[in-house]
Amino acid sequence: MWKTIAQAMSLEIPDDQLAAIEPALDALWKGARQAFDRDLTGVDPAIGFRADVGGEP
Amino acid sequence: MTIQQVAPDIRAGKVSPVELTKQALDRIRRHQPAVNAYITVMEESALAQAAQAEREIRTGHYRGPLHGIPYAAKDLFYTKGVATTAGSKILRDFKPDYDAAAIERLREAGAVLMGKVGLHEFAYGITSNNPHFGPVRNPWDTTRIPGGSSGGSTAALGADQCLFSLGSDTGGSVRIPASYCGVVGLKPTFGRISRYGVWPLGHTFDTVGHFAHSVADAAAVLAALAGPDPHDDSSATEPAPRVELPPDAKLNRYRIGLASGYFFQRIEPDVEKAVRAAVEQLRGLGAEIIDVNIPDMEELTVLHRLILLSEATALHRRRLKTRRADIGPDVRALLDQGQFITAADYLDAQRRRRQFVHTLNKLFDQVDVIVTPAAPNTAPKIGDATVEIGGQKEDARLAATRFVRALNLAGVPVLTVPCGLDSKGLPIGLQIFGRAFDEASVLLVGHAYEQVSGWNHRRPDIRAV
Repeated sequence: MWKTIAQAMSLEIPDDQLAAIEPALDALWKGARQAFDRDLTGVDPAIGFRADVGGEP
Repeated sequence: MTIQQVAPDIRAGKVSPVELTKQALDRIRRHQPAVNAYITVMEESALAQAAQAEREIRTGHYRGPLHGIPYAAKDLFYTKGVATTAGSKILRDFKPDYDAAAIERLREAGAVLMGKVGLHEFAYGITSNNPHFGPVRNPWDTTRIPGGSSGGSTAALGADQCLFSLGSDTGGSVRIPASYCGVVGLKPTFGRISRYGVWPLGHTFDTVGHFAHSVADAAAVLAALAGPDPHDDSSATEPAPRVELPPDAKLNRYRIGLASGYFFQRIEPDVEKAVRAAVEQLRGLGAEIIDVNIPDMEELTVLHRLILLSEATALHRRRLKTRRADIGPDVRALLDQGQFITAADYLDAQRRRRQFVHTLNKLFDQVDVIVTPAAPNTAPKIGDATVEIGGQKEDARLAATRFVRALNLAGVPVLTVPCGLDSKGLPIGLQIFGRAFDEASVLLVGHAYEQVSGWNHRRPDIRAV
């Protein structure tokens, strides 16, 4: 599955290196699924944007 | 030797900052082959800074407890005209044209910068087994890792090559090496210390922290570093905390949460024994110990990984494309994993993060601080990709970060203090955390414990491999 996704996203990862990270990706997704199944309606992401700060230098 | 012990003598002119600096340089020369803590030793400028401190003190211009004190900085703090590698081959020759805010504040406090110390490549890992600058080694056993990513900072301090050191913590990079090297580590509240001029990794987690040989020393360094900085958007507007640490501190009014369940389910027996003994000492100091449950720790640990994978890959994506062969295999593998995370995954993880902050804040209605083991194990051997804990083999990096990562989601202040040695003679760490911006409680509890336990005074007998 990861190889198909990598190809679709045009990621330049050699086959052996992709194979090496597949178990980690499987485990990550298995662990994250519980969080993504939760109802997070009304919860804002914990990342900051402040209109009074920033802008390109 | 601690800062608190030597500072009065420096002030009184009984101890010379130049002599102190020369002693530290001598320790660097003697132990660099064994521990490989330093990437760059700044001998000339250190001696010049020490001489200036000595002149100022002699003429009545004492700046405070860090005046004339030698320290080391993780090699991701920008230093004007001095190589700042972030542990990377790609940045080997990078010389910033300005100093990090933390370096500037320590200069104002009169501290003496001895040099730049090693770290895991790009601060992205816990071993400090660096493919470009060689492995940093644990002074307690030089066949073992010091932890990371701030491994050079704790190895240098553990080897008495400085009296305090700077590090950074994105997912445990202060607390893991503090625990593995038997020193005090403080990861303050996110935003407490400016990260202007600090090479980033995960922009919603990166926190400047530091290491010392006592909690009182860590408090003195915090006082010099903390405070708002208009150059850093993440910098909090809170003023530096007022911390009072009396020598006979008692904890009679303190409610200390002992996080049970997850934190004791898969842990080395020596670590559990030491942590439970520390809790009894806290009880003996008058604290009320209350069992607390921090729910969903495994899920939150995964979410921290997911967010960090995404943020680190966003930061390094161009280098991954253009300099792939110049990035070490373990860091490259993490950066590759980050490419698979979608924006929706990232944002949902950040939304779940906010729920966790709410949950943790409610826990702090019941208790003042919470204690846990800092790590489930003591320092593994250099090169060991897996460790066995409780009869179960697991990835060494995931094991080391199990008890620390989720706290970066909440950005709360966390202190690690030494609380024992295992049967192999390796240090064990106790993790103490509190409400955001309540460093004062965390430091007071750690300080009171230190007064009765004394584990922070143990030093390694350094032997080369």
